[in-house]
Amino acid sequence: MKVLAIIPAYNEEESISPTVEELLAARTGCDYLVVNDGSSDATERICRERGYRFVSHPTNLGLTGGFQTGVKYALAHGYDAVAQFDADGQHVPGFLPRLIEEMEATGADIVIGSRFVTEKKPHSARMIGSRLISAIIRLTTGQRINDPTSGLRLYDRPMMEEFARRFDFGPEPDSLAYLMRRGARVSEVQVSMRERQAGESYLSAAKSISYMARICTSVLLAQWFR
Amino acid sequence: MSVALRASLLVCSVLVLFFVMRRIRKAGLEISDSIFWLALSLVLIVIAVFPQIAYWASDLLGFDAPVNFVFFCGIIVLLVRTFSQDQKICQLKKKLIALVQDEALRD
Repeated sequence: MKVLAIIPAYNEEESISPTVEELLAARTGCDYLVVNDGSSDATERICRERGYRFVSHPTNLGLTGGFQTGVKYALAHGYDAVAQFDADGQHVPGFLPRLIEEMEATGADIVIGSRFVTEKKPHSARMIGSRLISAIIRLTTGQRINDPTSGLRLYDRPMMEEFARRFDFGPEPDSLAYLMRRGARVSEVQVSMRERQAGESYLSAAKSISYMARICTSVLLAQWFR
Repeated sequence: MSVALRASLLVCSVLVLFFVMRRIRKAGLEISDSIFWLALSLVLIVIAVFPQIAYWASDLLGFDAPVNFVFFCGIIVLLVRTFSQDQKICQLKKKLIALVQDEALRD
């Protein structure tokens, strides 16, 4: 299976190089593409100097647009699947082959690198949001997703086409719920993740409440009218 | 409706009319958008000059005071306008995303 790891990067000058180097060193068998999402720092220069495979947005579009650019690239270059991979060092590339094995073995459309398959979800404040999203996904799809907010996911070709075609359809839990209701099969594989190493997250603490509101509204209401 | 309200309606509409004209001359507004503002200021002028229209309509629709009817209509018009602007912004966003991605993926 030909897999492209899409690495959306917005102002990740400190972590982009370690992330890509680690991915290369892990010999996962995946290709990668950095999508520089209109960074104002040295992200683009670093990618060019080190000869990384990257594309650059002339302006910032956000995670949804950045991931979609990667998906369009993957479709144009004949990839069978894409992986969502964070530029900030949270994701361990060594787990990518396990996700791919799972997709090949089970024929799942989406494989999530999940922190809570065999591990228990901690009762911390940060996980309240995760539990809430799990609960409403269960309510609307009847299926259990242990780690809906994990940003490490693998999508097969039919899913890629959905992401390329749609507007306002990001690689987020609400899209998962929508695709599941339309019959996508989702599988989870236990992985571990690190804390962010550097840079600016798409989900800073201040944004997390509006993130929750958006995801919940989207899962519960807006998806039915899509 | 008091004379003061009628006077301020009149003054506001004339001001709007003046600003819209100026914007169009300086090409700061599309003609299709300016139609809305021109029509709005004309309606306000008509109501300020002939308040009987507002009396008649508020009677018909059961408003306590004609001035409430005028304000109510203003709010509705603004809500519709905001909604249509949201739609327009959404269209612009779609175009922007398509442009940015095309530019990024051009080999």
